[in-house]
Amino acid sequence: MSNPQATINRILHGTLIDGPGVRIALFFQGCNFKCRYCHNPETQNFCRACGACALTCPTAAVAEHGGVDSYRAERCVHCYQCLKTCPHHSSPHYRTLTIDDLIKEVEASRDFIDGITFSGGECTLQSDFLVSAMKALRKKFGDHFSFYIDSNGLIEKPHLSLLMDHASGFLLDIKAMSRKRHRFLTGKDNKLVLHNAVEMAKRRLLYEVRSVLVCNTTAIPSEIIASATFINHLAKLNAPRTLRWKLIPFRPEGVRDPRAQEEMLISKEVYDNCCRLAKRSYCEQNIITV
Amino acid sequence: MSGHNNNIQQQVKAKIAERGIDYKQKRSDLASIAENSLPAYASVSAKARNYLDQGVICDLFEGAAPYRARYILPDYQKFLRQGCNYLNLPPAHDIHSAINYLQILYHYVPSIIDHPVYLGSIDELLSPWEKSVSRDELKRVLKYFIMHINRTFPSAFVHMNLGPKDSLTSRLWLELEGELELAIPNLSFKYHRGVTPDDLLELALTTAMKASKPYIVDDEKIASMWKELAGEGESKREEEVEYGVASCYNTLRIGGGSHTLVRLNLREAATKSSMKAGDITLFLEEVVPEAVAALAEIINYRASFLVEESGFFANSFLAREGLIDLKKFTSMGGVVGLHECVEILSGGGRMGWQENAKDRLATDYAETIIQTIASKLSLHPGKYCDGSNGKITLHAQSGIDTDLGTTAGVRIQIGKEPTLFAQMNLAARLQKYFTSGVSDIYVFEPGAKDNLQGLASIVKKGIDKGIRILSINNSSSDCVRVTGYLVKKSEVERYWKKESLRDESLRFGAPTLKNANILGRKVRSTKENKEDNE
Ligand code: SF4
Ligand code: SF4
Repeated sequence: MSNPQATINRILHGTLIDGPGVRIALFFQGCNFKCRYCHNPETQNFCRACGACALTCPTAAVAEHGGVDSYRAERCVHCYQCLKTCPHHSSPHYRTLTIDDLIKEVEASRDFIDGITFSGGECTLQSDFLVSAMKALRKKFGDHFSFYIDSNGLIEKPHLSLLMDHASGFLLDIKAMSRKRHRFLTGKDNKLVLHNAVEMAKRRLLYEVRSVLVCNTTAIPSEIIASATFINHLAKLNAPRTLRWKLIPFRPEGVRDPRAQEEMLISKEVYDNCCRLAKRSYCEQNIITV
Repeated sequence: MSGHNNNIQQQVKAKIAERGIDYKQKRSDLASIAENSLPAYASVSAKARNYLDQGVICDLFEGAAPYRARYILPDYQKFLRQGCNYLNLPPAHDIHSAINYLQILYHYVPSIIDHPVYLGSIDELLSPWEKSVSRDELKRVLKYFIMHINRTFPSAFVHMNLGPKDSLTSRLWLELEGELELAIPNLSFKYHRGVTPDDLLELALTTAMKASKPYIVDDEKIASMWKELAGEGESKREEEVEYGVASCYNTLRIGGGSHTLVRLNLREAATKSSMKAGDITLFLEEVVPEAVAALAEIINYRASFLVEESGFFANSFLAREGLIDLKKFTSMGGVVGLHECVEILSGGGRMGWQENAKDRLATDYAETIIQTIASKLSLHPGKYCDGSNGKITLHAQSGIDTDLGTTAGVRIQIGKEPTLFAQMNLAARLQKYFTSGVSDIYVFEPGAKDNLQGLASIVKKGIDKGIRILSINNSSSDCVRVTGYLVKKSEVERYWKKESLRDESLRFGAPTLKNANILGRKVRSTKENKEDNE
């Protein structure tokens, strides 16, 4: 058997916001969306060894033109200057992870966790690894842990069906209901995303759908109502499993462009209005607000 | 002598003229000045005095001549059952009389802060009558009860207990605390697997994410720890050994309490004896035994003074009427500054972490040191400690406002927290040595409120591992855990503007919030927190 590897930006032991219970979250490097409001732009692309970050790193933890391959963790002081510098929305910090490494990580926290969540970046771009990982973890730990996939939904059919065979659930971002706005926000069409949402619901695999509310784009009544209608439809397919709908106001943290930050921000009042509308249009109990 | 008198007069004058504190606080401070004007520790050894002078041992500025026990946990259940001669009260007969009588008795419970530091297990006290009124009425009376406590005992050390059994009183109390978001009273929830229903625990956690309380207490292990300890001494026990949680996470016997709390500052112990990296053997074999002997000596001096000189127990109607019993008392030896002590001895290792050899060394040192202190302390007979079979009990003290650079109890220094699970693993290793209280704080981001199953899982798995007392907090709450008690961020701002505020704990809480970087506690599971990268 081949020994698949993943490219991981970081691993978080003990998260309560990435699926049910207490979990380990793996954040994969690389994304097929380029969201305007991305909070972790450094996870979008792979390093091109351009050398820019080496010039600003205060401790020479990265060699010039060495990029990610030359990164020496023991020198790093976690100032994150490199992330601000990188012109390619990447980072010298990510690393490869084998299935064995992953098993070790899970082993270290096994007494505390209920499961593992694969997140990103966009983890489904590394579907082969995900499938092998879920198989291996299940083989090792039995049905002790659940596996959740946090995705933007842009997954090709063959990958999706394999993932659905092994995952316990999905956390799905629906960036916008209107195609135009989806393109505006992410650079990609949403047809496949919405199609995949239905596929997941049919298999009763949807745990949570998330909407990020952006000023004048998704924080508007027509978007909320369109989302609610669609999510109601998903919820029926997904039943009896409950489907949570989480409404998140756009947050400026981590977003690169200061002008974009200002333009996207919504007031508390707008957020509350959106939530009120959502609660009127979807089962209130399953709506999660901040 | 006249210089001494002048000095006292000056202190009294300054206190009388002080702004920003109210009349009652002044009166209590004036009493402390009087008490502290007496010569202190006349009969303790020069060695022990030296430790006090150096700050290795600290009596918490409790006053030199104790005339009331520091922690008193009256048997409120007995009080409601039998009434009280001194207060001319018959036994309680319904929910209203029960609450009214408790409110009366609270005013007669002495403590170091002029307010009762233990209010009882409210559900056990009131649930016998909870069915005789409607749900709405019960909620209304409980609300006024909370308001009464909040307004008449303005100190966050005033501590109420709940659980482990299910009751409507518990549920409504938790609901109300979530709605009111008050710093006072402090609140502990006794959790007992198999006894406490899951949805009650989840309700407690919902409240914790709003109001930063209750603390969750492992009822099963703390109860059995006390039963075992107390049982050793009492060949034939007539009464159940029960514990309550008072003040700043002091787990003590109901109907008893603790005469005093004197603490050992481990950071100072390591610093003052010029310990260096690698000196662990010397520290364990020489420094610890000597310091612990001095600690025990001072504790016993204070307990003897209280019992023999002040005549507190002979004089108190609580004792006369059996609401407290000297035989159920203990004394506490506290520790603080383990984090810094271990850092010195391991040459910069970070306890709780497992990243390198030094870290692992620090983690092992932490347990070895506490284990050694516990075993050395048990060699010294505790005077008037019949409640704990003649032993002084170990307590992880939560720190005081003047503790600069010394971390509370056996906690990890704020800002140096390892991963969530590593912190829990360390807490589990250390907490089992503390009979009379220990605590740890875990701050989660607001989104965790929507994952009650996850929060409950943290509690249950932590308890399974060996954690005894833990606090689950929300990084965005107005109520902040300072060390063990709560203050409201909004009131801290007003404190610094020198407004006169009711909450006396702000006098300690506001400076501590600043000095100890309380708001810098690591928030768990925040994606933006890139420091979690490991
Ligand atoms: S965070 Fe980046 S810039 Fe800072 S020390 Fe580490 S590698 Fe260098
Ligand atoms: S991380 Fe970014 S800046 Fe650094 S070498 Fe790679 S692409 Fe260049």
